[in-house]
Amino acid sequence: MTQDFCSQLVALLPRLRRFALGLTASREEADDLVQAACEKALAKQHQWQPGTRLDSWMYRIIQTQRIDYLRREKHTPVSQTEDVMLDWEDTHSADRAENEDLLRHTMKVVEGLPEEQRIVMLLVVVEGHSYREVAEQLEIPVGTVMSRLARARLRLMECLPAMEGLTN
Amino acid sequence: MNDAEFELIMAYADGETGPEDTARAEALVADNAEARLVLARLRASDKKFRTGLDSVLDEPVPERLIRAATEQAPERGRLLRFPQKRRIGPSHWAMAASLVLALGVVMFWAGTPEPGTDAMRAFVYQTLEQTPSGERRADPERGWQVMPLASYETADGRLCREYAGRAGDDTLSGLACRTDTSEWATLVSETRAPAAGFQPASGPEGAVVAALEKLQAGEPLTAQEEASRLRRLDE
Repeated sequence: MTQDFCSQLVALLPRLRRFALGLTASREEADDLVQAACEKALAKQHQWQPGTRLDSWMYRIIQTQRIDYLRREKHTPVSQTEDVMLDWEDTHSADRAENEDLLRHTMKVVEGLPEEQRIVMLLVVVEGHSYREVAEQLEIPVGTVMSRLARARLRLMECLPAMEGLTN
Repeated sequence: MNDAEFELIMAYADGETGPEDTARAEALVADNAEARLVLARLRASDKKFRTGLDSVLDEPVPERLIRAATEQAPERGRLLRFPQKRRIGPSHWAMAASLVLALGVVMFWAGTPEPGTDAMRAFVYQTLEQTPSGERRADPERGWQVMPLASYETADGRLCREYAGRAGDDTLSGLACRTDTSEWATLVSETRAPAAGFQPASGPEGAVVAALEKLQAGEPLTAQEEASRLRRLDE
C-alpha cells in the first residue's frame, strides 16, 4: 500500500504544484505547501481509501494546510517578487517563455482574488470539476460556488486585456 | 447584462446548464451582441488562466517534494512506531523463554523470497550487527541499501531488529533476531517490487508486529540502549 501510494503521489506532484501555485500565487509558498501536504498525506495515508480519487483527497489536504498556515501566520498572501520569478527562468523554448510570461501575469491577477475565489477557479477551470463536485468538496451551496466563480471570472476578464499582446 | 445573465452565460460555458437553461443561454447569445462578447472573453480568459498555470506541469519537480512524497518524516520515528503499549500476557512468557521454541512457533515466512541471495542476506546481517537505527548502509555497486528501523529486546534478552531496505527495484522489510551462535535469524521477510524511491516502511508490518508480540519484545530500545546493546555484540 505504501509503495503504491507513494508512486501515485509522486505522479501527482506536477498537478499538486499547479494547484498550490494557483492557490498561493507564490512559487515558494506553493512548494512549501505541497511539501507539507505530502508529509501530512503520508502520515495519514491509512485514511485514504484506495479506489477513491487521490487528487481530490490531496487538494483537500492542501486547502486545509493552507488555511492552517494562514491562521498560524496571521498572514495575508505575499506578493510574488520579481526576483523569485526570475530565478527559475532558464533555457527554454520561445513557447515556454511565453507561457511563463502568461503565468506571471496570471499570478498577478490571482493575487488580487480572495482565496475563496481562487479555489473555485482552480477546481472548475483548471481541474474541470463540476459545480456540484466543488460544492461538495468545499461544503458550500452550488449557488455560492457560482457567485464566487462569477466574481473571479469578471475580475480575470477585466485584467486580461493587458495580457492580450502576450499570446497574440 | 445583469448578474443573472452573466451566471447563465458562465454556466453555459461550463456545460452546467440543463436543457431549459441551455436554450435560454443560446437564445441570449443569438440575440445579444454583448452576451456573445462576454462568452468569447470568458472562454479566452479561462484559456489563459489554464495555459499560464499549466506551464508549471512541464517543470522538473523539486527534489525536496519527491522526497516528501516518498519518505516518512526524517525523524527516526522508532519511538513513535508503537504508540500503544502491547499488553504483556503472562501466559506467553513460558513460550517466549526460548527463542528456539518461539522460532518454531513464529514461522512468518511471507511466502515471498527472503533477502534473495546469501550475499544479500549477509549484507543485511552485517548492517543489523553494526548500524544504528535510522542510518542507512549501502552497497552502491550492487544497488543494495538497508536501514535498521528499530531494535527490541525479547523477554529472554535477545536482540531483534526491524529493518527496511532496497535491492535493485525491490524493497524489502523484515525482522531478524540474533542467535546464541552470534548469527542472525530472519523471522519475517517481505520483498515487494518496485518502489518509487527508498522507503522505510511506513509503520510496523502486520507480520513484524505479530512476531514481536510473540517474542514479548516490548517497546523499541532507545538510541542509548541500542548503542550499548550493539557494542556488547562485539564482545
